[in-house]
Amino acid sequence: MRFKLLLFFLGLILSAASRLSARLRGQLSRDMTVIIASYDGVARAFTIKDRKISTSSRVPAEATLKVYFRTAAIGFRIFLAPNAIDQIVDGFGTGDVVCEGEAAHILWFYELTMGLLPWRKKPIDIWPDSYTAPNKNHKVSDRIIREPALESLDPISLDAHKQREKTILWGVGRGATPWGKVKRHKIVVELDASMENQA
Amino acid sequence: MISEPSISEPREINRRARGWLRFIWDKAITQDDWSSTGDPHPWWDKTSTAPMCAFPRFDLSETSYALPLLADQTPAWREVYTRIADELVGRYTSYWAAIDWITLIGHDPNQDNYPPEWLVWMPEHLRGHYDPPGWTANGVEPWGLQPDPIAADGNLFFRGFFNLLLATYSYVSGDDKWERPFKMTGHNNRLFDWTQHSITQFLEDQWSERPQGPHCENTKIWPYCLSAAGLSLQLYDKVFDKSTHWVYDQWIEYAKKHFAKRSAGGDIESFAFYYDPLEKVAYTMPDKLAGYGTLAPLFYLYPQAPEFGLELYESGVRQLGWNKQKGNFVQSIDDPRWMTLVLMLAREIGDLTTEKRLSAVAEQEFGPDFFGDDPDRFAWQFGLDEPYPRGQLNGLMILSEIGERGAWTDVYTGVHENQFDLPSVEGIDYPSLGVSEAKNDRDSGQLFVSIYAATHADRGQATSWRVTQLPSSQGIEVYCDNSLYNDWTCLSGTKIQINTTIDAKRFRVVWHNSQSAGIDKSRAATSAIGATTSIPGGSSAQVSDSTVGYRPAAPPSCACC
Repeated sequence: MRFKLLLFFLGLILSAASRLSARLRGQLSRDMTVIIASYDGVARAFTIKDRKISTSSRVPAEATLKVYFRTAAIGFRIFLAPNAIDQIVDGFGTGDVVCEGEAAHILWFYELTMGLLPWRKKPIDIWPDSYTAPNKNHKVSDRIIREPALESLDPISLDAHKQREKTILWGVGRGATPWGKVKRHKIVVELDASMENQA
Repeated sequence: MISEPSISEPREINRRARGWLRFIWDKAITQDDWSSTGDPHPWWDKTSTAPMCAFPRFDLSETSYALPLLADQTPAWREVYTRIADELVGRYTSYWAAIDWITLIGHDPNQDNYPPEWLVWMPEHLRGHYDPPGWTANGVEPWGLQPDPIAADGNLFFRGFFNLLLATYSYVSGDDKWERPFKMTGHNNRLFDWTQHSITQFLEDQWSERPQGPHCENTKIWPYCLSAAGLSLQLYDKVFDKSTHWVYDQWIEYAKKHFAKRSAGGDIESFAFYYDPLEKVAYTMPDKLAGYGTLAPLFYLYPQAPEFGLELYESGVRQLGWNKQKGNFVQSIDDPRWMTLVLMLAREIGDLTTEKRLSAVAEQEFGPDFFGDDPDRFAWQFGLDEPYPRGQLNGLMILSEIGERGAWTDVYTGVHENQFDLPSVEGIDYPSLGVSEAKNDRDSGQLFVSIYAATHADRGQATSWRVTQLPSSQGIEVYCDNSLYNDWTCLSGTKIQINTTIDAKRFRVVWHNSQSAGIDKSRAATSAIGATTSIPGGSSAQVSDSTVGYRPAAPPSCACC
């Protein structure tokens, strides 16, 4: 019951935040469904559409990401643990957690959720000797050609526009699904005993 | 038939490495168009490890890493490695090599449109309004547009990896082609003059004043790329007997204090993937996943800072649980790059448990394959149904198949003798005929050469090859498969030609005897580390064929010119 309630309130918070927080909407670029469930009966779907999150206890058969916990109690414990990611990774190995989809999506969803906590602090790392503006007295400065800043690719560079279209970075930023990804990746590899011994 | 008992055991390049060499030969010498109006051949990998590495120049770099290892296996035969390295360097001067710096101008207007699996490579609080790793952002304030991809405040990864490729070329070839001025393609097809030495000088000078490390993208500092740049300086120093690497040593001390985070007990908990000095944030993955960041730069870092590298390695594999003896193997990131890197490191370091485990995963999951029906070409398919094997991933994976444990570090610490001054094998009809062993035994004055049919269809055909740089062609004895062999001719006082057929055979050329004892051993000893044979101020003693396989630049096509 606790896990069920946790997911219910999580859904409410995410749903409201996706309508109020530009920061959150900036992370909701792809329409997708995330299902979080336990094998003993708890399940909730989080559907992202047009950068808004809706939630339901009725889960569709298909989803981009499905995360199953062995029991609701395990799910509750892991979700609230300060080292949740550690426990999820360990859970993959032990079978306490099963992921259908990309494990990176769990990390993204978890961090997106944790980012909503009001007491969360923005990390600041001020390190010495940072180079934050061009130094024209450096040894190599006379070799660097510095021209006025440019906010975007010059429209007259026709070839450059055409070639940029072929890069994954540009294409995916424009909305394409990343291409060339490994399709048969296994998060958990069960090694054949013979293979393990042979190696 | 005269039998010779004192013959050393062959240490040959294995069948997988031969098959990979066969494929990268095809890639390197096949002409394609890397200009602003062309496209690299689709077998150049521009999709792996997006968004950071999804550019074809990473394939150029990673394809090159096998070459020094192979050259150390066959130090008396290097012409094929030289040709491949030359073609890789040539492409690296082209428009497509710098495609990111040239075309990803300004901040990315699509910052809020990345898929979740890309967002996890950025600090959570910046997601949705931050340029991703890989977006070079040339032109942004406060740096302005910098048209030369080498001479820039940022873009360290471009010149660092290039310098490593150039040093690799010098190491395998022994010639000075890229020490002479060449053109580098930049923004709007502008061309910039550089030499290998001037790039190294730029790296050293810039880094000397930026102990935190120069930026890669504007504005992220990556240990991964800095360590590749550092490795380029280390190899440069070995090849040319210089001392530029101190800037990396200085950076390592900085990295220990800042990039590495330790627990109260002193154990390394994380090593930042990158630091952004403008946003004042260091990015690491949380909890155990931090192991990925800790392991990421080690492939380059370990040969330069082995003690610290070992500490990072142990922390990383422990966090990911990859060093366990039993149980399921968990890989949270769906990219084989990480495992290929760690497998190679485990072998290099001598971590047998991890090596065995990762090797078992690779054999089971990565699909080692002699290209279906083709017995000549080898690569791992990584579960991808694509027409060509992935160059970046295979370029790393093959390193676990070449040489002995520690071979990677040995390249960069100058352990191997280059044998440029000793008898050499030349004129091999590659890719019909291949060479899996070519090494002089300096003390006994013998050259051991094992050949094989690199193209099975050509097996049995007549061929010939030369042994050059003999101290004298008089008194030479040639053995084939341990029997005296007579089908060879003297071409000059220092050169012979061996006639044979394309097949697996082992030759032994005895060149040091009472009549040919003139080899200068003191010269040999002093040149064991430095690879170059260039003549100061003059032409190279041994210049490679001109690079022909790529088209580096095109005439400006913008509307104004």
